[in-house]
This record gives sequence, C-alpha cells and structure tokens, in this order.
Amino acid sequence: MKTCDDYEAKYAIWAGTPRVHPLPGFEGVPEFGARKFSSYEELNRWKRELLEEIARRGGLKWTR
Amino acid sequence: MDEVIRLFNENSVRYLVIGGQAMRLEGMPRFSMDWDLYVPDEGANIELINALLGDELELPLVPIGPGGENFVQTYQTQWGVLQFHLGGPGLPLFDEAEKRSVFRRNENDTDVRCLCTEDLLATKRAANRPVDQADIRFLETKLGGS
Repeated sequence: MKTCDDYEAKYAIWAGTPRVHPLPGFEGVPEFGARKFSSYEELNRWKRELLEEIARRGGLKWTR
Repeated sequence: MDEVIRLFNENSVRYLVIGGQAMRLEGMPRFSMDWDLYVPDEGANIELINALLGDELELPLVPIGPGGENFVQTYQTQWGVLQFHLGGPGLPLFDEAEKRSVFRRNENDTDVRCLCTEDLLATKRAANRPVDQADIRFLETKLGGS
C-alpha cells in the first residue's frame, strides 16, 4: 500500500505536524432562510437535503 | 468570517468554535462550508450577538424553548453560513467547555476561541456519523492514540 493511501499514516503526519490549512473560497450555496432546529436529527436531515441540492446544481464553485 | 470572530473577541461574546472549522484549526486538512459556534443559553450573550450581527440575522437568535426548540439556529450571512448551537451531543456545559477552551490562530492571524481537543473528540464520538470517523481518528492520533 502506498503511504498516500494509508489514512492512519496521514492522520499521524497531520497530527504530528499540525498547521492550519486555509479555507478555500467558494460560492454556490443555495439561498435559504434562517432555520431553527429542535433536534440533531432535524438538523442533519436539512443539511443532507442542502447538500443534495448543491450536488444537483453541480457542486460548489471554488473561487480561490 | 474573521470580521465576526474579531467582533466577538473585542466585545467579549461568549462563543466556542466547534465542528468542521474547529477540526481545520486543529490541523486537519478538511473543508466545511459552515461555521458552528457553541454559545451559552444566556440572554445577555444572545442579545449581544443580535446587536453585533444586526440585520445579517434574518431572525433574532433566541434562547432554547421549553421543549428544546431552537437549540441549533442557522443563518446565511455575508460572512458565510453561521450555525449557533445552544447544546448538542457530547458538548459539556458551556462554562466547563469555556474554561478548557483554547485560542487557535487561523490562516489570517485571527485568534479563534475553540473547544479543546479532548472536548472536540467527545462531541465527535457522541455524534458518531460516518463523516465523523476520520475526525475521530485524527483527534485520537493527535492525543496520542487514545
């Protein structure tokens, strides 16, 4: 197995030399109104639907 | 998002970054499109957040309802998607989490107050979704393979 395919090795490398990886810029999150949730199940269901909608639209677009 | 974090730091807003952004600030190469913030269910702090973020919050942030309503509140803002958590799986009481919290410097030299590594791992283990498994292994490795 190549090292690059070994996730345990990756975790060891990342954990041993921690550095902050910059958050890439992106656009394409569908517009939605403020949401209030009463449970994590409700939140996770909504988030899954949002991700599916992003996928239907072709994914997020990286801007930098 | 740096603008929001700096605003919170300068105005002594009580918050802790959790979730994917906290993982990224721990050093894991990981993407998240939202910012999860753990905030206490405390009127004065909630009002302060409402005052600082103003019209960007389409609806005001509110305390948890008697039946657990509003324990997560999500907003799409000019800074990105903000999710305020007033509780959640594996999260210690806010006061305890805040005592153990750490500031982590992000890529823009902004100090971000985050859940400590051990508490972040506890939340990931409690959530235990498929997406959490890599986070759990990374944090376990970082803490010495526990």
